[in-house]
Amino acid sequence: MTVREPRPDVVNAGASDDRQTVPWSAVEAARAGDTDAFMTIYDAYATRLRGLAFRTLGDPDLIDDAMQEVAVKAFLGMPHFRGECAVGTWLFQITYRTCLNLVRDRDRAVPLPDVELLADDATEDPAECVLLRIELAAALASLTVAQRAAVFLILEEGLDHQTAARVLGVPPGTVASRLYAARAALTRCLEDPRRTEEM
Amino acid sequence: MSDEQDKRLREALRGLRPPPPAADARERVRAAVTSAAAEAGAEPAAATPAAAERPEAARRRPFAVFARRRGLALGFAVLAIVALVAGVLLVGPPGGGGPEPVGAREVLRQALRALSSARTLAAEVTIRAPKSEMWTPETRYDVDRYRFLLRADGSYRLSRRGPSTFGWSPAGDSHPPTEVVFDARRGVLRTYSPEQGLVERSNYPLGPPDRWAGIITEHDFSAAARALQVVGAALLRTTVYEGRPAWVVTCSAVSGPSRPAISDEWPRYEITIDKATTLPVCFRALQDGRLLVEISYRSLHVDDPLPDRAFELKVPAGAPVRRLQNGFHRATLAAIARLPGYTTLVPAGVPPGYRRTQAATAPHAVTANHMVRGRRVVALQYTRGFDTLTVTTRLVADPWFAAEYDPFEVSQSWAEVFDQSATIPAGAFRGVDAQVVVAPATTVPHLWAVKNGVLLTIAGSATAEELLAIAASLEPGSR
Repeated sequence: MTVREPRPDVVNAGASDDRQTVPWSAVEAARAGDTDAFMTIYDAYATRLRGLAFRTLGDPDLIDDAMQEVAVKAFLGMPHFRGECAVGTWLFQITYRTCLNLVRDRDRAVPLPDVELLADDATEDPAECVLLRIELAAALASLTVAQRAAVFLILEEGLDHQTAARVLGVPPGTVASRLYAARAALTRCLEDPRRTEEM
Repeated sequence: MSDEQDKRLREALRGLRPPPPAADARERVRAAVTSAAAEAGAEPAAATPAAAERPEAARRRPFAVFARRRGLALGFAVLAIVALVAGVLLVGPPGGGGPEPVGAREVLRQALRALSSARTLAAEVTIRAPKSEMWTPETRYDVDRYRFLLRADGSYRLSRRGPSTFGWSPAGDSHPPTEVVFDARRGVLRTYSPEQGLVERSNYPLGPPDRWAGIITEHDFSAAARALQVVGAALLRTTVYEGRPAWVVTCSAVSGPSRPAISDEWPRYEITIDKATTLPVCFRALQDGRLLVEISYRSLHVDDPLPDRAFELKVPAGAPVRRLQNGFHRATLAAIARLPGYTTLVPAGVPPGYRRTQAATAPHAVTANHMVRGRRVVALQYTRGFDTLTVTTRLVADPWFAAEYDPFEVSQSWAEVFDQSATIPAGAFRGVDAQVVVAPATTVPHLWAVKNGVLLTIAGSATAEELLAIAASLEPGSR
């Protein structure tokens, strides 16, 4: 397999996102089967991939196993990675497809995240935070897997529509329509008058 | 939608972060990647001479296994066919959107993948084998029929239809049972026959080597498919089966990386798969062109709900009841670790998708082949769909014998033909030579090693490299 030349010294996490970089030498070494080099790449993206896995699977208990599978697939797939997209985009693709398969294979309902798993935020009213998060979690759970993934990639990760479309394997217009519907459902949580009154 | 709303939504969503990874998550990932790297770069098993280089006696003895213990042949055969049935069914017919299998290896790979995620199986099973071990053109056949249910937690049920000509029992009952029900969650095996009544065995072993791996339905039939995966050069041909186009996957009982896929010297396995439905319709084991066993499945359902009541065993009022203890007490690892004299060795890494489902301890145990006595046995079970892995450690009185003798097989023959010796590179058994046996004819891929009087066994659906990686990740622990 030939890598497109010339290569940059570093590889961006995503086409529209340069928050994370890994040396291209690590990619080359991982492509040659160096597990240490691969783990360097994995470590650089693990938190963000984990976020996508969480959004896609919806079940915290499955994330660690999913990430293990993602890592193995990515490692085995490294020789076929030709640098046609950023490493991060490629890893997001693998994560999304792996989680999608897990969801489809297990055909399980996506449970709501446990409230105790939610992060504390000292700057806001704790009760309001918890209530909002419960509602938001419920709203997320009501979305399709593809909608949740679009929300994560674009709203939370800040990818552009083109890159998100590449990760999700659909045209940019489809991503836009998924995001529009998802955003509408989620935004209702922020504006729910009942919660505001009860507060 | 305003930018302000997006900002609020983004902030709110960031409050729904995933939980932190488990403490050992990264190490598990590393172990899985390392294992994958080893598998991807594995050389053919040069340590094991090709079959042709073996002494005649060693090459011929595997036939004796079939002759002496027909259940072994039946067990493997059933394991293989169920694995393929489940696998191909779950993958779906070629016209259903999935890619058409391109070769025997791909068919087997799909079976393995499906088994990792399957949840239930229900089928009618028919088994046919010659009445006499001395085959003649007039040889007649025994035929047994069962209704078979299996759940991914390991629970299974076999309901015999009609008389048994094989006389099979999973636990050595004196009369072949008409009903066999294993409750994996509670570790209870129940068998019923009109002659013997109900026999209830509590604290049943988690898995091999303390119970048979490959007799009819024991949970780990996917391990047989894993063993079949070593058949890199299995043949795929087309045929006509009962008037319908079909595939036939053919391999030899001893096929492997360093052996030919087909050899006239060894038993041959043939699996027929209906092309239209991709349903395997027949499994045959042949020796010198003569049938050893034939198994067919009908009315097969995959992933249909199997409620607990499907595994309830009702026996006639007044039937005698006998209760037995098999000594494997289910417990948490922490509780086992607190027992005086017990050391719990836990793998830091297992192949992707596996999770620990049970732990048990037994003060004394004898392996199912009656060859190795042990005490202070600790058994851990990991599952992944229908895949299982069982890891055990035990103190043995005769470490030399335990190191030499395969604790899994009814005969040494398979191990002599297939085993590879490999040094465990890390962990509690670092530096010890392990014996690894993975081949189509074994009941289950397995590994064993002895250090300081402790016998380690690992058995289940895994490649040789994965078994070795698990052994290398063993460390004392209670989580």
